[in-house]
Amino acid sequence: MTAHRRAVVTGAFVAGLQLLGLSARGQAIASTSRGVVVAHDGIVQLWNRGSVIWTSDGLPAPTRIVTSDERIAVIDPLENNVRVLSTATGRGQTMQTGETPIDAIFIGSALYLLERDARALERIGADGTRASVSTGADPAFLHMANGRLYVYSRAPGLVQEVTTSPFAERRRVHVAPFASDFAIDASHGYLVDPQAGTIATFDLASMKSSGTIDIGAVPVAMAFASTGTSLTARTIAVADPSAKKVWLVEGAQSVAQAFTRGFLRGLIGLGLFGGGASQFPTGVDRLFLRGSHWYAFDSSSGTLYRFTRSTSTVVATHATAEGIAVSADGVFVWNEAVRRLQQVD
Amino acid sequence: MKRLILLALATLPLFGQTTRIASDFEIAQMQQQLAKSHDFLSQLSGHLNLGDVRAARGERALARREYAKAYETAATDRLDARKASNMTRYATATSYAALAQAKLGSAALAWELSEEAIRYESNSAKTWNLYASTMSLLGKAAKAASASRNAVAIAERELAASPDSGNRLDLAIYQSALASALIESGRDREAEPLLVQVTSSLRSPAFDSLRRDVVRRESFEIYSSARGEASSYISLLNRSQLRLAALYEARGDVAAARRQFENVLAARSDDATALTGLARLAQSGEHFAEAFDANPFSPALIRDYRRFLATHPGESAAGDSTSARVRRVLIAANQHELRAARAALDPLQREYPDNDTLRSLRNDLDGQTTGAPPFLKAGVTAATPSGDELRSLLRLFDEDHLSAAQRSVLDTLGLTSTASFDEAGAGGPGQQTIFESGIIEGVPFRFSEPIAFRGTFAAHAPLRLTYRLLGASNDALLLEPLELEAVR
Repeated sequence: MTAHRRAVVTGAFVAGLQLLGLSARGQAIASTSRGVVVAHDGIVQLWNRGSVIWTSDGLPAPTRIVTSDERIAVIDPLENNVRVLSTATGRGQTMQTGETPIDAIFIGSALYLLERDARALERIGADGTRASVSTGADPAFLHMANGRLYVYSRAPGLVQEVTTSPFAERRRVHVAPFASDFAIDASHGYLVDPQAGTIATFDLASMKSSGTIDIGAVPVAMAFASTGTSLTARTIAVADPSAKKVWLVEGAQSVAQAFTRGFLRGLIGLGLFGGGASQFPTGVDRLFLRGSHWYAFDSSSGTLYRFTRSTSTVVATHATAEGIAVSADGVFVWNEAVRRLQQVD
Repeated sequence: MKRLILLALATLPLFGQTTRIASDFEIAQMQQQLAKSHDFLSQLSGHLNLGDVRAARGERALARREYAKAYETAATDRLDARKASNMTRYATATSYAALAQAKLGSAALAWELSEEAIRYESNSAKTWNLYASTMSLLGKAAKAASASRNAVAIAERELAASPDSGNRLDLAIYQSALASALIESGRDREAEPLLVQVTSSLRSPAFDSLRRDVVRRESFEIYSSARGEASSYISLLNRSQLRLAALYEARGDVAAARRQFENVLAARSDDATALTGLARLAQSGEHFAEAFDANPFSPALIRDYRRFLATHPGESAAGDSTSARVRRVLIAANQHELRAARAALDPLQREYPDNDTLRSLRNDLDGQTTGAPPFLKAGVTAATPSGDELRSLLRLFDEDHLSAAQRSVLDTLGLTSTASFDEAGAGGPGQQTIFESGIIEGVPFRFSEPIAFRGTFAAHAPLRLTYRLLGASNDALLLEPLELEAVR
């Protein structure tokens, strides 16, 4: 038995866990206008060019950070807490939330927090005042488009459109249940259904389902690879860990037109790299796309890849999904072994 | 994949779970089964059950070892499934890895793995049920209840679409889990009708065929992790009736509670929880003796028996069984005959050297629980002990003077110290350093086996070690390392 094997056998040890891309304690990082913010070990730190700008009290098990230009929200779903901090100074306060906060968005001075097991979208005002909108069962994703919030609840496949003023549900549409990812642009919503191997879409203007397209074997995550132009359509990248590929969907027409006519069906299945060979040695299941910089992550092994239309290169190992931030300055990964933020690309 | 259900142990709020004590022979049989069956579910359920049995016997270190092996089994299958592009198997293995981590007390990791599993299988009642079991183990009853509601909703749809006994049994399993989570949340009123529904369903003609199968196979074992329909059926019926009895007893409906306990005993006459319940209801020494025959080391039973003795000073216990010998310790202690109690306890401790319940009895008799570090109290999850405190812990371990409650705190207590390691062993693949022993504040320590740490660390240099304290051996503390890093 090798020494490596011993570490894994013992199970609970961090040494072994890191080899599997897991974190024994909660941690999360995100990029801000002033640097990269990291929540770990009960503290929050802002890092810039390898130095810690400030350190503040944190939360026991942070798993997600959301940011605006001025503020940061660190979310701890296990202990039902959110800590809101000033990006400039690190000063802030910790607030109790409803059961299992999992995502949030800052709009103006308010924080909109999705509380999964409370089945609620809660608004926390700058003065601490609170209001909430009920969601469907198992609300899993929160996005904003055109000044409105969109909540997707997995069990009923329900998307609710919520206005901020008044803070209320405006419209709703039933799309695909049990999606693993939800993305939205100015005109459409996209739901990745790993069981069916499809992406279901709906039209934001009408709040009506606009069709489904077949993608790969088990699509799990998606991201917008390009915004498109007046001449070309938006390009969508879809991670398929079963096929060990990232599929790229694009069309000469607008996405809405293509989906409506089923035109894209002919393009689906080509894969980003084409051919039958796998271009990632392991299956990737998360995507981090920023401009022309594309990264894919394998949650099972903790491997982060940089990829283009023709190649993939490992840029980090032993990473965790919430320990990766892609910013204009590069790709940052929190290294739990040495407790440091590392720029890996 | 065959059915494997998990039945939470700690969900009987009134009197705690009192599983029948497993003999060394039965444990050896389980180990033999593990050695023979190498498929994923056999290995996983085997280690989980062995861990639970060890825990029920008060053997925490051995229980943790089994849970760690269960995690290793799940983690290996998780990676294998991913390599084979089998995403359903990947999600299942990830769920079980989460569960094993919850049993090991690693909340953040259990959460992370549970979330990963549900990303892939949010349409699976089984995955949500495993999620609920994991949250329940972590003490997150509201999250467990929410996850169970998802499982029940999905199972109801599946039963409506295909009303066979398998789907009916699945729904009962998830309803029972939801009832458990509700009880843990203090929502007994919502839980009771669910449990009535579950027990009624399980006793209905819909399960006639399964009951015949149970009788034909002479199946009677109750498992915390049950495999197959027959095993799941009897384990679920047992647990649901016990929970229902607990609810009835809590609201003073003695007749209804007794009926449920008797239902349990009709299927299995040596069920320790039911025997304890009947003894408590009847306030009968004879019933208590039967319960002790089933599990002489149950803390819940011992607590109930002590209460009984307080109002029944004339009790006696005849015979040479372990049950009678433990009762004689308690009877003597109740009569303040401490010398006699110790004399009765000494041979028992020699016979069961790893038993925490007997240790706890010894501590109670000696009244020597003082000298424990201040962080050794309920609710404390992290501490940085001084050298004196570590020496105090070493002494308490050596003298067996830690109470069961203090040992329970140690199960989840993460300690952090500056450690200096003895010479490193041979390096493993990549950048790794292997350590086995060292010293903290002048107190020697060691691990149960050499551990490979990722990164390069020097021996005899100060390093920041986070660890759990498992015990003491040969004048050294026995540690389980959680993390090693350079001193900041």
